[in-house]
Amino acid sequence: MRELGVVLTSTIVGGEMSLATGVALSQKMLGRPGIVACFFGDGAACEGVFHESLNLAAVWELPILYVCENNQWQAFVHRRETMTGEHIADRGAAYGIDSATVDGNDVLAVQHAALEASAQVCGSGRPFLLETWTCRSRGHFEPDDQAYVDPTEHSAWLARDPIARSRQRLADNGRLPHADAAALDQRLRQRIATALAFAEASPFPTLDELSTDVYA
Amino acid sequence: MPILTPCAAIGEALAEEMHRDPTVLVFGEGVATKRHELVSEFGATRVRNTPLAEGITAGTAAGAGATGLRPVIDLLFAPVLCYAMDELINSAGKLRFISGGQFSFPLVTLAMTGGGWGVGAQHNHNNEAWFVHSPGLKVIMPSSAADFKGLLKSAIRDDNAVLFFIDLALLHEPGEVPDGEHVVPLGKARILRPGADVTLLSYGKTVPSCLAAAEQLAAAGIGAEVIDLRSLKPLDESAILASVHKTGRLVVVHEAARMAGVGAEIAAQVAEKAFTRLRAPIVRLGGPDAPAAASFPLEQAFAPDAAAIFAAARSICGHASPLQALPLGSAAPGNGGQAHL
Repeated sequence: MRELGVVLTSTIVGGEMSLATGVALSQKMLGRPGIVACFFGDGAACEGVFHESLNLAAVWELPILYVCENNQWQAFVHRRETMTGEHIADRGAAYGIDSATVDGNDVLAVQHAALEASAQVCGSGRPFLLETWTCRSRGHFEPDDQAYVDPTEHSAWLARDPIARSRQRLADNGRLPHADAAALDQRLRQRIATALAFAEASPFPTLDELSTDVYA
Repeated sequence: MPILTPCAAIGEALAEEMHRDPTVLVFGEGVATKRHELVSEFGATRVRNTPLAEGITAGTAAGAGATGLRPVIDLLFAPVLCYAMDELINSAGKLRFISGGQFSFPLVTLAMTGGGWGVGAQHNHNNEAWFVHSPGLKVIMPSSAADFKGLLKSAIRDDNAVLFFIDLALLHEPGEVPDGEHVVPLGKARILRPGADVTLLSYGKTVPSCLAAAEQLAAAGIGAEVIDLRSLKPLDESAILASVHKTGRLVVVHEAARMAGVGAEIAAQVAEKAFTRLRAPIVRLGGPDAPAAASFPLEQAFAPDAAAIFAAARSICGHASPLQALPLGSAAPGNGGQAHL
C-alpha cells in the first residue's frame, strides 16, 4: 500500500486521525510536496481523538484534508442517537478550520469539492474538513442483514447509488454507452475472480511469520 | 568525570541526538517551556509544546515516526499513558506487523513514575509491565545518570517504539556521566557488584537499595551479586541466567506491584531454564496490589528498602541444599554449618 501513497491506517475507529497529524508533520518538516488526506466516518467523529486531531492540526497548521464520510450509521447505531446536529462539517468552525458538505452520492460533485478543498490545503498549508453526505449500502460487517435499518430510509438511499447515477450520467452524455459499461463490468468481475483464485491457491503463512516484522 | 542529574543527562542526550540527526524532534506538554535551551539551539519547530492531549501527541509521534522523523515525546506521568494506549499499543506496537514490515515506528515516549514526590495514585503508577506485555514495544527504566543519557541516546536511534520510564526519585540525584559520546545498548543488563551467593536483580530506584543491602550482606558473610536490568524489554536473559547459574539464589526487586510484574516473568524464566541450578526458592519483592498512596510513609512502603532486601536474601541463603523451599522467616533447614550461607 505504501507505493500507492497509502500510509497507515487503523482498524480502531478514529486511530487514523491520530496518525494523520504525524504524517502531515513529517510532510511539513521534511519539506515534501503534497498534502495528507485522512478518511473517517461520523462514528470516528464521536471519538475524542477527532477533536484532538483537528485541534492540533489547526494549531500546528498541518496540511491535512480531513474527509468525513457521514454515512448515517456508526456500526449498529444511527448517528441520530449519538450526536446533535446533522453535519460533522459544522464542527470545523470550533477549531477555525474551513469546511464544506457535499452530496457524497454524486461522484462529480465529490470530485469537484475534493479538488477545491485540496487546492485550499495546498495553498494555505492548513487543514480543511470535507464532509460527504451519504449512506452505507451494506452493513457494518459481512454478513450483516441490517435488520435494524429502517427499510424505507435504506431504499431511498439505494435509489441514489453513486455508481448507478454515474453510469446513467455517462450514458446520457455519450461518454460511456451501456454496452461499454457492461463490458467494463465484465472485465472487473474477471479481475476480482482472478485475484480470488490467486488468494485461494496461495499457501497459508508459515508459523515463522508470526514473529516476522514485530520488531524492526 | 562530569556530575549530572538524570534530568540534565536527559537534556544532554536530547541535544546531542538532535545535533547528530536533523530528523529528531521532541514534543509534549511543557517541553518547550522547560527545555528552553533546546528551543534556542534547535528552534521552535523541533521543540514543541503540545495541548494536554496525550492521545494525539502519541499518535502524531507514531505517524511522524513511520514517515521519516524520529520523535521523542514527553507524556509527563506514567498514569497519563492511559490516554495514549491506543496510539502506543495498537498503532506504534502493531502496525509494523500489520503492514508486513512496510513501516517502522522510531519514537521514544518519556514518562515519570514512582514514589518520592507524593503525587498520588493518578500521577504515580509503576505500570511498566503493561508495555512489556505488549508486542512491538521496548521498555527501558534506568537507575543512574550515566544510563539515563546512554540509554536515551540508544532509544532515539532505535527503529522501534521505546517506552522510557523515569523514576521520579532519581530525577535529581546527581551521578557521574562519562565525557563525550556515551551510548548504552538496549537489552543489556549491568552487573554492578559481583557476588557468589545470591543474585539481587532490580531496576530503577530499588537498584541503590540492592547495593546497600549487598553491603550489609557482605558484612554478614554473604556475597550478593547486584544486577541492574536497565532494559525490561528486551530482557537480558543470558545475564540473568548466568548469574543464577553462579549463585543459585535469586531475589527480584521492584517498586511496581508484585502481581504480574516484571519480577514474575523473570522468576518464571529462571524456574523454566535454571531450575536445577536453584538452591533456594526465588523471592520477589515488590509493591502491593494497591494504588500508590500520596501519604509519604505509605508511598515509601511501595519500594522494598535495603532492610527488606537484606532480610529476604539472608533468609534464602539459609537454604543451602537444592529445592528446600520453606516460607520466609521459618527456621533454617538442618543442613549442617550452612544455616546462614
